[in-house]
Amino acid sequence: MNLVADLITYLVNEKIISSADVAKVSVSLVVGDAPKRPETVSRGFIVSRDHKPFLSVKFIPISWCFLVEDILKTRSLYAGFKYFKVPDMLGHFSTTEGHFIIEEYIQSTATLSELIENGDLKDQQVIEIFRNILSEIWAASEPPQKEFVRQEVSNYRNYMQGLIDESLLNTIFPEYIEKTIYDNVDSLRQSWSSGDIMEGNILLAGKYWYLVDYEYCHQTLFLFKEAYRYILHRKWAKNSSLQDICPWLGHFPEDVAILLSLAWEKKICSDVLDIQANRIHQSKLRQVTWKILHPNANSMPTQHHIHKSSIGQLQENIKTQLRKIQLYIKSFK
Amino acid sequence: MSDELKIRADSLAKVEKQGTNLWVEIDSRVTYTDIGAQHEDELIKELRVRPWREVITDRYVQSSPWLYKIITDKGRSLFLDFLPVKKGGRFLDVGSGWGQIALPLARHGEVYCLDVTLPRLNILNEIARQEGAQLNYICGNYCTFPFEYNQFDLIIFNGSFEWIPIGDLSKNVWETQKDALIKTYNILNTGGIVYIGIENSLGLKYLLGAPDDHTAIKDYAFLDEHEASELYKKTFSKEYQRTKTWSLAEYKTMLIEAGLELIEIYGCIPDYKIIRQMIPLKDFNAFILEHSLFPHEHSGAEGAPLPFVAKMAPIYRLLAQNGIAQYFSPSFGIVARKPS
Repeated sequence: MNLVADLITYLVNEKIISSADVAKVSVSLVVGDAPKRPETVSRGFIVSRDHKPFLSVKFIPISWCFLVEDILKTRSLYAGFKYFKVPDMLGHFSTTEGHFIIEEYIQSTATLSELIENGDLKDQQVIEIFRNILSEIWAASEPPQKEFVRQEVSNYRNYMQGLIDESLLNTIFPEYIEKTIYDNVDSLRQSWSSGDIMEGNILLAGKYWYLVDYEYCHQTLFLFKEAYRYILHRKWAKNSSLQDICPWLGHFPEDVAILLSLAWEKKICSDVLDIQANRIHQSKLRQVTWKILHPNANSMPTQHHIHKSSIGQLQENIKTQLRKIQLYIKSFK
Repeated sequence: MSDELKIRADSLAKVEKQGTNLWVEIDSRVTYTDIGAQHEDELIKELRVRPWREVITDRYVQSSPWLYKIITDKGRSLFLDFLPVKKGGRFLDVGSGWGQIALPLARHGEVYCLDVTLPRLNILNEIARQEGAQLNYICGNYCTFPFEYNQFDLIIFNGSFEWIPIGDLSKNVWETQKDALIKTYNILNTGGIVYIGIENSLGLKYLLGAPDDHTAIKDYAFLDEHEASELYKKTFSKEYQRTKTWSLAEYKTMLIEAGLELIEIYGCIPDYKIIRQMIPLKDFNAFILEHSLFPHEHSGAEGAPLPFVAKMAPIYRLLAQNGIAQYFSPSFGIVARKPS
């Protein structure tokens, strides 16, 4: 409530627009289509003067689960990068409702999503773009501090709760994953992720790529989880491995990397999605998790697995078990 | 605002105050339900013992997915961002339904939720209890409820203005709605705001064959009142439902005739009930040429995707190039004020 009025007041007070310009200024609202709970919905405001957009404003509600300080740190770090640019930030302020971040409006020719949809880029080219973006973030990362590793391990143990329901596995796997993290800690770094490095947030403006949308910024030990979202959700990445997109993954075991990525995905879904969307996502994530844990799974799960590994598969497993039991009973006759 | 709801002195006998926060119009006979009256009591019982979001999800996500969406959608109350709301003011939510507007408003002032039946308000009361929100309730008919003049700072009709004519059968739809706006003018404080979220009868989707949101009849929304009434009676063999939406010019005329001052009209995309984009109409054409509209418009009757949705973007673009796309927005968010 009053968000637009608060924004205009700030813009005038900070002399980003003049008082005389207020009558010429108008504000449009754009929100994404993800089925979020109302209290977690961030807003994108586009501020226009004489019908020409000149500011892009992100409003993050007070109950949002990521920190404004982390957003500012991440933006500041990324601003020094070469492969992609960050829109200039013109100001930020907080109210009792939430936080506003004001940046220049990027007049883009297309988003990466549009270029993919129009067939302007081959899958390999898209992979290369994401590899370059993530590599630059990785290069700016630091060796992890012990306390940060301990904290991340503890957090991910919590995130994994519910991915594996069987009590025995639920005890064994988090311990196995924890051990793997500590055994391979030299392959990991403490990175700042903007948290939503997806095609819709990558803009082509002139000859430059811009990365926008910083509401999910956070520090992570597992930057590869960004790449796993492509493999999980995107057609262009369905035949890729984590190593293809994250060559810096080194000797860190890919299956554990995937389980950690799934745990993060589960946490984000729980934090922001509405009840029904969250139920559906959790169910899909559990299916993919089981695919990883299955002894015969010899490849990384993809969208193909998500779609196929549902009730049909369960039925097949049950039928197989029943046949075995029947044969066993027959052997006694 | 410390004193409670004010009733016109000559009509005190028409309203009974029950408890501390419920006012009931004694002779109101209007009814409305979106889930069936028989289900309302069981729903209230269930809401007393389970979290309301879970109850709504379990009951409606499969059986009435469109109802589920418009109850729970994140975009339902986003128009509030644009309203200059007076802190600590008195607000009236007409047709408060499931509380998607009243609940966020309650953080900013004293909210009165008006609905036509007690079970509707009892459902909302249970939801508000779970949310820890303090609401006031008015059970009655907006057309006849005897509000004292000059007492509200904000009045909201979000998906209810088109239903107003069922509350007064003595006049035609246009006159009934205009009188409701005159009443709105009267009961607002000077400088008070009215917001109307409503369909555009000339929305491109209706011209291309989408059914009307309230009757589910095709090629209906843009008809005049007489033609709409005839088509309704012919289709359903029963009395005209009296739900009617209008085009941009007609809404403007109605507001001006009621004495209200227009502040801004927004195009709400894909629908004022589930906002994804909210664009001032003065920027509508430029916005389409720069960004394009949210592409998934749906039938407002039951939420189904529209079969012709793929051809809408190029038409919108052409309309925008001609500077007229604003007239074809699927719905509007209208903000007006009682002038000083």
